[in-house]
Amino acid sequence: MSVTESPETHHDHDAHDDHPSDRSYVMIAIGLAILTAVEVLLFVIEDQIADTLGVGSVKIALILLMIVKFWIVGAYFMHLKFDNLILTKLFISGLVLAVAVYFIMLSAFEFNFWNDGLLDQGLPGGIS
Amino acid sequence: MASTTVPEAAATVTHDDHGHEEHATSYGMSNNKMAMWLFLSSDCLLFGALISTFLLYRTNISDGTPFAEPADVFDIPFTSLSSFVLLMSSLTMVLALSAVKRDDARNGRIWLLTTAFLGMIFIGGQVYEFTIFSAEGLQYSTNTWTSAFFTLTGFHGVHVSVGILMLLGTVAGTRESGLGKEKSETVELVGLYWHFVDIVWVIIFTVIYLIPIG
Repeated sequence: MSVTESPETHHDHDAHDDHPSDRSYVMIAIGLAILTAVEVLLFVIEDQIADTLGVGSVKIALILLMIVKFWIVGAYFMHLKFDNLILTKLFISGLVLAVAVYFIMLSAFEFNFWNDGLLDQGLPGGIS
Repeated sequence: MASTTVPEAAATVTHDDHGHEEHATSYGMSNNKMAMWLFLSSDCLLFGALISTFLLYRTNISDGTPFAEPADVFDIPFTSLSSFVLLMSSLTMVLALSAVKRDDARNGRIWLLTTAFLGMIFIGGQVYEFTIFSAEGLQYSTNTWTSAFFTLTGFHGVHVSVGILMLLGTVAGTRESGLGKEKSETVELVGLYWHFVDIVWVIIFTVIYLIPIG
């Protein structure tokens, strides 16, 4: 048996020392609450923003805020920022697969090319 | 601090600063933690499919109902408050873990129970929302919008409920043995699940409740 210092183990344990303090966690939570308030404000003044910048700008702003909140919770509360990188990769792979599921479903229902293809070939199972 | 490894084996055994033995993977972390992350990663697919289904049917609310769009039925101030409660439960969860890591069992228990209580408030809010929807004629089988909505938010509610049971189970299960530093991994795993439930709601709240149709 050899005694070695695994770099990843070292990173993992060292990282624990860098975890935020309780005070930092409270500040992060306040930041999340403010972002949620901004989201609701955007929803309330959606019509005014849509009139000047278009409804797309409201959607983009809300999605960006959602991504920021998602990242903050994942990075700090779930400790992904401080833990082994393999965990981040594992989680992102799940997210990428989930987004892929959405686009595959979207392509099936919205663009309708699967349905058209089945009907063109006279095959049963075309989505009506 | 050194870790003892067996090069030929997939698993390693590490000893932390306090001499506690952790069964680790070759990546230098606990098997339990890796398993929890694998589960959460796979759970992304479940919610990905449910959110995708809802998005495809999100314009169908008017089928068989007097409502033209979801904004007509959603009570955004109420749901915002629920979202705030769930976000704050993530804070109490990390404070619980922080306390347990400091060997502060008393505060660890208090924060875990607070997290469970906030989760119960969230679930109570969801039950109230479902009751209002039902009274307004939006039942599970009314149209594809209601089916997709109740399935998605219902599955999330089940996840929150399981999280509450995990929190209460952790508190009850450590009553005899104590909630000391050696239990920090257990609390961390419950916390990972709880935060995951929270970030799924971050997506649901924005995509389902706030983003306008059209």
